[in-house]
Order: sequence, then structure tokens, then C-alpha cells
Amino acid sequence: MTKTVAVPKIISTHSFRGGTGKSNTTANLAVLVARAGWRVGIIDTDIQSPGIHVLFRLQESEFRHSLNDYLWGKCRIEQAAIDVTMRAIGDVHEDSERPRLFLIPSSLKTGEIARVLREGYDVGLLNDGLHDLLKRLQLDFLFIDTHPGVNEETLLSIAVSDLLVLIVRPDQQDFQGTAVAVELARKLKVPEMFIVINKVPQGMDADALRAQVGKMFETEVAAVLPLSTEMVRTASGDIFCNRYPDHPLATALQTVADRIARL
Amino acid sequence: MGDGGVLEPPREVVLQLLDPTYHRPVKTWRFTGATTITVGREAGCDVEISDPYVSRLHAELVWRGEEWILISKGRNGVLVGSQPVVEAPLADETQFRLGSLGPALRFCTGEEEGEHLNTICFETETVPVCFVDESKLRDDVGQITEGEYFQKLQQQAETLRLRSRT
Repeated sequence: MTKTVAVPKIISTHSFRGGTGKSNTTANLAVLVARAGWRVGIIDTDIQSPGIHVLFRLQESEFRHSLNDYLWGKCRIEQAAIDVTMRAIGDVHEDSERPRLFLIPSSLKTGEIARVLREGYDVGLLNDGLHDLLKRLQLDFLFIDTHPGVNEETLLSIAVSDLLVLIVRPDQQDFQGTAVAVELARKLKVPEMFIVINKVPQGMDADALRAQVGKMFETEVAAVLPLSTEMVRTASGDIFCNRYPDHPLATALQTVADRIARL
Repeated sequence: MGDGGVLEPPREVVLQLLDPTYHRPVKTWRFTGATTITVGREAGCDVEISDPYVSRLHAELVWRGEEWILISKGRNGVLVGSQPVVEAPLADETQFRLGSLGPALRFCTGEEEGEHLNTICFETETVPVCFVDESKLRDDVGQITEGEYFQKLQQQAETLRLRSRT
């Protein structure tokens, strides 16, 4: 396959609070975009509480390097990338350029997590790393799974993004923080931004919720994703869209992925 | 069913999934002329409830000629009130639970339920009341945007994005 996007795109997924399903959503969107025939990377910048590797059933022993190693000058950023194409997409020839999916994990070592919390890191170096990844892995799309809340690293992720995807639950605790993120993204002139409402329980009026949230944030709501028992049962042990491709949640995620692939 | 005592089932039977806190209906299924209604997690059940406490086929409601009978089919049982039941007659407005930790349903027959339903306004319950405290929003955004880091980032944002295009 020889298709390439004119310019690579960076997509940040962000939520103000934890537990919104951000990593699950990011992983599924990245898999679906890759399945459409693209070279896709996912970088776990949630250094304080990494987790997205679990969805790809990656063990720590499979990490040659991590994002932490790059930030501390121990490796080049692309050396931390793990090719997860086979386990996430399946039957792809190992020499095929596309589709291809890479994951750049954060370290799971508690000592290294503690070091980040204690010493911090050079956020500018992270920025260099993002751009190096695009070039050296020849990515069409790079997804950034950010740490919840607002700190220097999430602000940088938002600033460099072509698209910001805000994940919000139908919960008052999420709304105030999301409003802050929306305002910051506007001030940083992020080219595109939309909201995904996740974990919407059975019985809640999805159309009314979409209208209310869209109006409140003056931002498009790209999808309303149902709270799914099947997703809970998957327990982050698999990519949901691979396991339940016809599930309403998978269908809704596909519409978001299609939208991203058209960026 | 040639028995002279056998009655036609009620024209309409309604099952309502109830909110666990307020016991208000959050989903309604209506059946006209049915004599058996299956309840369970499995696709294909007449009342399909996606819930980890619900068995694939958890219960059946069967019209036995003069009354509806609730029959437990699942491993977690069925409770009417606080009593587990294997089979129990269902009177209008009976509430039952699928397992001791599972969801509750209300059974209704006849015209009375229509009036009952009309008295419940759950339009406003189906969407959370959400709002943003504008004053707090201004303060929070102000604190961040006045910082040196943000201002530097704001100046460089476009350059940073363009960098990925080269």
C-alpha cells in the first residue's frame, strides 16, 4: 500500500479527570485509523500513571526502552517504539509499510515514575520527541494519550495538536474542567477540537445530552458513547473494537476514527 | 386451550426498567398480545438488559390463562420484594429484581399503567443538569494563561504545529 497523508497529524486525547475512558478511547481510535491503512503511533505521555500498553497486552519485559529513557537521554525516541501491528491489526505482512501501529510506552518501573514526579523532565525535549517520531517512523497520525488535568506536558500536547479530542463523561465533575481545557485550546488556536461524551448510561437521552454539551462548550460533540457492560468486562485486556466489532460502541468509535482519518 | 376458564391475556403488557435509586422508569418495553416474554442479557431476549448480574436468560413471564406468572431461569434468581421466588404470580404494578444485586423491573398491565406512566415526567431525569461556573472558569483559565510557560507556548504554538509539517 502506498497511500500517504499530505502532512502528518497529531491528535491529543485529553480529559480533565481520570477514569473517563481516555486511554481505551485513544487505543481504539488509533487501531481503527491504522486499520484504514495508515501508519499510526500512540505515545503514552501519562508518565505518572501509564496504562495504555495494557490494552495491547504488552508486558514490561517487552519494553526495550520507554519514553522515560528518551527524556533522560538514554535512547532516541524511535527506539522506544514497539510495533504492535500484528497484535492489534492482525494479518499484515511484516514488510508492509501500511497499515502499521506503534506504541511508545512510559516506564512501569515505580522508581522511574517516582523520579519523574520528583525531578520533572524537560518538556521541550518531549516536543522534539514528538516531531522526531513523526519523521523517523514516517507516521501519518500520532495519538498522544495525555495525563489528566492541566500541566506543562498536557499544555504542550494541546499546543502541538492538529486535533484535540476531549473525553467527558455525563458528570458535573467533568464539565467544569473540560470548560477550562476548551478555553485553553482556543487560546492556543488548536485547528480542530471536538468532544466525545463517554460512558453514557442506558436510559439517558443521547441526543438531548449531545445538544446540551455542545451548546455549553460551543464545541462539536463528535460522538456519544454508551456505557457498556462489555467494555467493563473487557477490563482493558483487549482492544474493544477488535473483540466486539459490531457493538454500538465500536460503531460509534468507527465514526470518530473515520473523521480523524479524513483530517 | 379449550378450557372455558382461560382468559385472553391483557391487551398490553408493559415492563419498565427502574432507576436503582429513585425507582423511576429508565426504559420501557411494551408487548401487545404476547403470552411469553423472555428477560435476559442475551441478544434475542424480548427484554434485553446488558448488566453483569443478569443471566443470558434470567426470567420468563408466561400467561397461564388467567394470570401472568414470573418464572426464574437464571443462576442469580429473581426476587419479588425481598423474597426469592421460583415462580410467582404477577399482579399489576409488581416490582421484581433480577438477582439480589441486579436491576429492578416493574410489571404493568391494562389501561392503568398508561395513566401511571403519564404522571411520571422523566424527560429531565434522562439528561444530567450540567452547568459551568463562569466565574471559576475565568479564574482557572486566568491563572494558567497568565503563567510564563503558557504565554511562551501561545507565542510558539503555530510554529510548533508547522514544524510537524516540514
